[in-house]
Amino acid sequence: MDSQKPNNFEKEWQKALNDASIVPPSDMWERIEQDLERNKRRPFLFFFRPSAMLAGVAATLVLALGGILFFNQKELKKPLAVINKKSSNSKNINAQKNKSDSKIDNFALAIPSSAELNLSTENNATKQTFALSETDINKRVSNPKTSTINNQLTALAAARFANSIDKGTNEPVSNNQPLGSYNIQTLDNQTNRSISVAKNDNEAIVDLALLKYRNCQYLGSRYTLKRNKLVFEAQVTEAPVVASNDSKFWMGVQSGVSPFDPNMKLGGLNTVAMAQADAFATASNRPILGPSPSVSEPKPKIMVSPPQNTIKSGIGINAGVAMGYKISKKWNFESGIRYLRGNSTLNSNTYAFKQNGYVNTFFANYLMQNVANQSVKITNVKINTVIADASQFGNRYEYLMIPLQIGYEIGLSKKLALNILAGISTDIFLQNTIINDNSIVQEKSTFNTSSNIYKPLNLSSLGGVRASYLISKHWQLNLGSYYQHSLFSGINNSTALQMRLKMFGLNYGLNYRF
Amino acid sequence: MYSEQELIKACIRQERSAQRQLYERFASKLFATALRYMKNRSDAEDVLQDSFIKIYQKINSFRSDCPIEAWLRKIVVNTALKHLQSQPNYMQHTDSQLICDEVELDEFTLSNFEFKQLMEIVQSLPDGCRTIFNLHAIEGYQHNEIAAMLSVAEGTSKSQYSRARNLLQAKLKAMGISLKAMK
Repeated sequence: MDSQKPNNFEKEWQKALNDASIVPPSDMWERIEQDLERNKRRPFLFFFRPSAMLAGVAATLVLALGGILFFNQKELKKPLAVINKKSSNSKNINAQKNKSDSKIDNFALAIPSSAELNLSTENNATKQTFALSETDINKRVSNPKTSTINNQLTALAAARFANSIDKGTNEPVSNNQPLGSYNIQTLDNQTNRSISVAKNDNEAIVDLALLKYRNCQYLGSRYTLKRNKLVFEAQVTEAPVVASNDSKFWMGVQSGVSPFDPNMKLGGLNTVAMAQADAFATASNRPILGPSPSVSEPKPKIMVSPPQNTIKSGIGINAGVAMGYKISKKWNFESGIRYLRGNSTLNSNTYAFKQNGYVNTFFANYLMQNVANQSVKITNVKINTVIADASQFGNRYEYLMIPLQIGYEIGLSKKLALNILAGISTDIFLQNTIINDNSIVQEKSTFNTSSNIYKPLNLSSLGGVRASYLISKHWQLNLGSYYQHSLFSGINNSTALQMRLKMFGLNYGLNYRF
Repeated sequence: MYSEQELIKACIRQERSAQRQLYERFASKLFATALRYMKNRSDAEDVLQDSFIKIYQKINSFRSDCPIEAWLRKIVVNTALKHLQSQPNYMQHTDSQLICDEVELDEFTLSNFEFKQLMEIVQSLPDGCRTIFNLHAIEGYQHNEIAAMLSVAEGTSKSQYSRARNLLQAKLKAMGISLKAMK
């Protein structure tokens, strides 16, 4: 080709155009400034930026955790409140004891102080106390030897709840031991008869003045002021619906966030790049034999700088659906499908990806640097490093993952459980988008499985710990940490590069238990 | 007035006065570079504007082991190439169309020409020819490097360059100046 002929064509054009200056339009700076101002403003969909996304996820986690703790506290307080209701009621009864009235209202007089003690030690059995069966009531009331006068009130209360049962509240019937712990005294026939009357007339019992809050408002406990409405109107909350842990199958949405480390190993790439550049420098620095028309100046001394590769982790975010099956009381199986997007930054002058593999760019970058220096001719200082902004790649990896995990459940309470999970994930590579702002080679490229760089399928190990909380009968919140590590390199073996994804982060989700 | 190092540091801190100073110091040279690559002044202005935005955004990735002017110029060249590549029908000539006669260019000079005339001649070249002429003759890139930059075959780069030379020769002749006379 004639272009390869030695002549001064290029040199003349370089001399004429290279150092040229043309004043740009006067309003150019204003236009640039406007653009800069516009870029300063918050961009549309700002929350998709990694920092904003992370802040949002963190806020969600804090809210979720706060909610769990708040609801937990409420659940723990309930039984105590009921116990105190009884205590305050008993105090009220004791206050009226001296009146020795024979009316039904005076059944309250008979409650002994020991009953208070027994009740106050009930703890979680409180609900069971209220769930006394009608059979037990009859048995206790009709036995003149074992009944006590003090049991009259107990029987009334029991009858009241028996009435609730008759009305179909379906409260669970269970252990009635706390009632049986009352002191037993002799019961006279009149009182017994009154109880029978009262028992047969449930409406009258419900309207009993002693069960009204106003009679005990001056003797309330520390709970009374805050929750006085609960003192005797807690039929609905006495036996709340307990969330079912017996569900065999669940399904839900899950998401996770973690630092995303592509965990790349460059193999011998740096050595190869270094050897190439070194060979170039050696050849270039060799003295030229014979005259050459194209060489009119002394040849610059070329030196070699070391190659550089810096890989920074980014953020990985996954989201998808999960489903699980309870194999036994403690063991469960979980699977699903997740979409993962993770980014990382690679600052390298050593290699760049092409559609059919990667190319070693160290040599080319080195040449560009030298050419640029020679053409600009700012100083006589020899710049011998590879070009500074050689290649800064922003990688955005996208995967579809199918995890299979076995979980072991440790129940902490009726609603809270801890799951230890371990398993394997099938990772389907979708694509990697490489964004390169500064390089001349490519601005933005997408590599999918057809590029022969990335393996279409890979396996990774998966494990973690997760807390599950039942917020209602069917809905369950999850929060935990997970660790995932690719078992094999995600890059084809034909290249010297290796990539084993590594992620350790938080996951969270919501399940529906059938 | 900042020194070069101070100016870069101030630009990294996004100080507007420093950004303006950087613009004033280099805008003229960079605008000339943009004009060489683009067909008209309006496109060159767009390239310059985009380049400065990119420069201010990426200046923190600049390392002082190479001259700032080389770095700035590289960004302008990249931006110009990006603009050109986004145009339809860019580099659509086949090699067969570009086979040209041998040109005898032993030695010649352009010192008799005004800069404005030369710029007009360069700008009148087709996009592909102009790009490769700029990259090879002015920036000094090798054909294999240009091929990698533009994702074309090395042969295409060579033939486009050859065509550029012939076209330039023809245009200079058309201006009434024989190459022999320019020796």
